[in-house]
Amino acid sequence: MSLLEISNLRVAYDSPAGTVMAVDGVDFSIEPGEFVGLAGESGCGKTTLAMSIPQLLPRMARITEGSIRFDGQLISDLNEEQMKPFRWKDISVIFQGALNALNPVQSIGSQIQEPIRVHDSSVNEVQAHERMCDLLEAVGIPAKRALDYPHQFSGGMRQRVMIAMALACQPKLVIADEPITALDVMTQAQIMDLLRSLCDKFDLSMILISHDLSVLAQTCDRVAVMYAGKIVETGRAEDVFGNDGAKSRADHPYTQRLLKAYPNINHERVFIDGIPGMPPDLSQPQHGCRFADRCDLAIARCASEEPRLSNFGNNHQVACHVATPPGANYS
Amino acid sequence: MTNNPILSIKNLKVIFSATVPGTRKKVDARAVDGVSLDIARAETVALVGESGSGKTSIANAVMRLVNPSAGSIEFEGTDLVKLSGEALRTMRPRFQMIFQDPFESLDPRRTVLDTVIEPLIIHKIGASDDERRAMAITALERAGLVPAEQIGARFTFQLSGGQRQRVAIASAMILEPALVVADEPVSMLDVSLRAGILKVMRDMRDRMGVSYLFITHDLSLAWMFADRIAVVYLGRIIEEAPSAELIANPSHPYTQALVSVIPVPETNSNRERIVLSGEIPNPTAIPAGCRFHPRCPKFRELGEPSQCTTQDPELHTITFNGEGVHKVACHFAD
Amino acid sequence: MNDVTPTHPTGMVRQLWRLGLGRAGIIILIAVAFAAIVGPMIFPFDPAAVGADASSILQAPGNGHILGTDELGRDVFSQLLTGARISLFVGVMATIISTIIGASLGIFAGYYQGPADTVLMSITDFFLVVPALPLMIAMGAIFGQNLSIIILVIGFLSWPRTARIVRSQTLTLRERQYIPRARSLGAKNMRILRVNILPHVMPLIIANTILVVAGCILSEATLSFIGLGDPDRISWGSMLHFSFVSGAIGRGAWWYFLPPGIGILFVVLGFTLAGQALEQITNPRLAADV
Repeated sequence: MSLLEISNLRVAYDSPAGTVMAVDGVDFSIEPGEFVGLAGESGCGKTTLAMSIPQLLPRMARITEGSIRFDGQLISDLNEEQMKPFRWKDISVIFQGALNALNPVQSIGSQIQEPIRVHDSSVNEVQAHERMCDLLEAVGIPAKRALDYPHQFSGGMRQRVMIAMALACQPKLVIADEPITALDVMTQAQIMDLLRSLCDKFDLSMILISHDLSVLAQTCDRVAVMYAGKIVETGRAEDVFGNDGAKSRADHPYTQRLLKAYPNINHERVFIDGIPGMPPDLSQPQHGCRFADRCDLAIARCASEEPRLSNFGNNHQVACHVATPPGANYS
Repeated sequence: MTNNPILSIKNLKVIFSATVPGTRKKVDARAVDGVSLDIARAETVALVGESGSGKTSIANAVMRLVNPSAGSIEFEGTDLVKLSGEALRTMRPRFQMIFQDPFESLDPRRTVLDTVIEPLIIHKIGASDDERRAMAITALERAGLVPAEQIGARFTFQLSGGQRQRVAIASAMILEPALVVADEPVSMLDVSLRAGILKVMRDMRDRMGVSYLFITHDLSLAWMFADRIAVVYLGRIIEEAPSAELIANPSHPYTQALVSVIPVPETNSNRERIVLSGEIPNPTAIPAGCRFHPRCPKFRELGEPSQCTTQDPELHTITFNGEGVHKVACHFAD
Repeated sequence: MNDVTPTHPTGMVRQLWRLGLGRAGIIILIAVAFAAIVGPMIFPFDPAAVGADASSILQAPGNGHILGTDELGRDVFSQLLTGARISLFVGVMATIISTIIGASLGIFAGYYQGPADTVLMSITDFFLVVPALPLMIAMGAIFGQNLSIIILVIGFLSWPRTARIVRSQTLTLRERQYIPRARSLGAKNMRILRVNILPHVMPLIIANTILVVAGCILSEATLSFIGLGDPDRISWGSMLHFSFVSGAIGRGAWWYFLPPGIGILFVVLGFTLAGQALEQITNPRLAADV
């Protein structure tokens, strides 16, 4: 049984301009101990999808259809009171820009202990302090710095503190929303390595949201690519990011073109390609494949019929009428 | 060395006065600590570094948005540092800037057309309103904003990030400058939009022969777009080479580490990653000797040689097969 | 990204109308403006016409006098309408002076900073700290009591608030990236102030101005009430003054002192409501509470 199972999820945002279907029919699952990357550009719905899991959506957003099951239990229809026991203890979140969300007048050690004290009444002060020290060591901060204040740490260190806080109650699933965006490239590498090692060490599952596909390749077990509210491709990292020489193994046209938008130093030095046009306006009803108008492989069927995710082997799923699984005969 | 460079920075220093947090003590923050760099006509040179490296301060100093504390910036034969007031203003059309944040760098209340015409009005270019308008329409079209009249009539707050950046480029290019300083022009845009913006910049270079000083933290982007890359660390250029050469044969340990951690959207990339520990120090506390030595893996490997802690290495040339010059500032460069 | 505060007057009025308080403010102001401008033309009684005989003194409403008569037999209602004009006139004129001084100083101090800022803000602080009423009394005593002096005095004492607010907004605007861009294009400072900063501060200035009008009207009423107003003009403050001095209150002549009092209340309320609502619309920091 999967740790998390999302089935046909639809999330709507109510705005004065109309209702926007930010997530429009998404199936997504994650196994225990799996490190999954959720990738896509701005507006694709990745943050909405992830934040609907612990029900941390903004006021104007609501789940309109579908279900989310955690460890077999249905959590998408729980109210706020019923949801609280799950947060921090089973599912915790590292928010975007979180490194700036630390309380400036409280020592970091005390802030890390807070979730422990609040959510786990069985733990006494000494145990909480011990666990806090363990967490600091686990994230690479010397325990003696527990009494220091956030302003005494650099950006990368503060992010480590946030990670320690997220792990404080030993959750089974951690959702990290763009955890490295504001950091330098060297610090990014450090934090990505850290997240991977923590995932392995504590055997937890992680959903890492990123608009940057290139940082996911090295660290994730699996990747899901989102576009306009839907998952267009998902699979093991080597199936989405791998390549046979110059040809990438990704099968969805959007993924393929997105990968070509990153300069790749392992290949020849060529000018990158973009994707002309813009994603569709999700306040309008959508017909057919949402990428069709920007896709140069589109056929007539793409405009009228929405493609469903189909399995290309090894759980490599692609939602495209034109893409063919390796070795298949298509008419 | 480039003959007759269009821009020649010599020993530039930008020193800010900062207070040590928690005290009243004033210290010098040496954001730029002796930088020399030449850019030739129609050449693109990238300044690559992490935040706190000083690359943005170098850009601001060249644009004279910040006053250099020492050094000279020779541009088309004139030292920009010595210019001020009206003399500086008359030179402005020759060197322009594209800013990082497309949402902040344009006045949201003005129309697109007004934004692009503004430089012409400031410098009294164009004989009539109609002529200026025509020039602006052409600039917008060249930046890929079509239909130009329609888009021109909109307010900048109505445009998307990518469109705004094109407006920024159009308004920088309308004066036909010889040098454009681009400060992270695509880092705030979605990846699929970047190619479009960079292509506009490349086309301008091909058409007008403009030189770029391209500031970025993204080494792979610099490799793709620029002819030469200069790596900046704590206010100094520690390595400089043609792009392909720098990525293929990085010589300075910092560059080697940076190149090794470049994220590549591939899984079968068998590069060994050198992940440096710690973070870039504050420019108020620049390490003695070689400023990189506290984090340098080679320093530790070689048993902490005293040269690294006492002597500040100078940029010196190393030989390689190919066009151009490869310079590095390290006592033990490869 | 698209929530640009409206600069166009119709945009502002439309947004103002949507806010309940703003709507109330606008209604009151329109009523007052109508009364002040049109009123004296419609109602025939000459406010200066003294009563024919002793029996016309302090008459209760009736007999053609909608609000009765004062201690000299003059029609109170006409005085009310005429007084409205003076009160509004003084309020508006003083505000114009105050806004011009305050906004200019505020923008200059906020943009140029450095020594200019320090000097200008010290002057501003001085005027903020000086007790306004005694100063007004002193100036009235020195320069005499005529309308122009009163306008100047009130105007001079109310610009600090505007200056502070404008300076604060300018400081924020100065950091927006389009200012360095304007400088890199070669724009002169005056141009940047005029084209890039002023339009963005304007909405705030307008909102603040309306609030200042309320304050100036109140200041005028206060001065007139204590007898420092222009003796040749009828204003609501002077009506209150004479009603007090003539013992109308003791005589229960409510028609004499209540109307001007309520009038002042309404006008100040109207301007304050409209001004505060406008401030909520234009000041980005307050806008979050809307």
